[in-house]
Amino acid sequence: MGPRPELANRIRRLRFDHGEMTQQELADRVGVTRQTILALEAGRYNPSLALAMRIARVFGCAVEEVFTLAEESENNGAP
Amino acid sequence: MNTQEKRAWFVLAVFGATMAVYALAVAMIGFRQEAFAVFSVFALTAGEGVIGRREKKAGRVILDERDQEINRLATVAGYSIFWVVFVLAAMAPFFIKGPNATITLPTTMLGMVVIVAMMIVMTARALVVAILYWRDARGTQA
Repeated sequence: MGPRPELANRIRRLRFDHGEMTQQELADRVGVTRQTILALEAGRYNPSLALAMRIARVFGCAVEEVFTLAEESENNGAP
Repeated sequence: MNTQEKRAWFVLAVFGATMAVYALAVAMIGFRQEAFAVFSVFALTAGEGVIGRREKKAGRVILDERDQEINRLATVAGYSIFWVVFVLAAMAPFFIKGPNATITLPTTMLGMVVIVAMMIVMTARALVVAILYWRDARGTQA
């Protein structure tokens, strides 16, 4: 088994695009604490598959549009 | 500071209070078996379950998957630290007294081993929880 892959995400961008949703609002909607959303946006925590899908559902997009592998983000020049 | 972190600091505070009371007992009566009775102060850690009840009643999430992951890592670390301490303590008489020595221990010592083991596991786990949340907060602020 290789090293755990790092994920990049667009959660912060998507929050602002969806009516400037706060971290607490997003946390309440997906059933986690605000600190977990904070850790997700800072790239310090990789969510479980279920949590990733719940977040994607809140934003109305596919999981791949919210989360990408870090090396893919670097190649595509995404933030 | 979330519920799990508060509970960890509560356990650490109770451990500190227990050690302080034990130091006071030793100062008063010396290193006698009776001094070990003050370790019962550590039973106050049973109160950690009260922390977070108000938030839970309000319907808020107090422990999510990330907290459970930190809890799992801290529990593994707690038992690992206990194992290291246990092995060192078990091997110490061999190196101090030599391979042919005999040690006589009171029967109460066996019960004390269990209590001390529990204290080590719980305190080490609480310490690791506090450290993991501190590192997380520092990394988030950076």
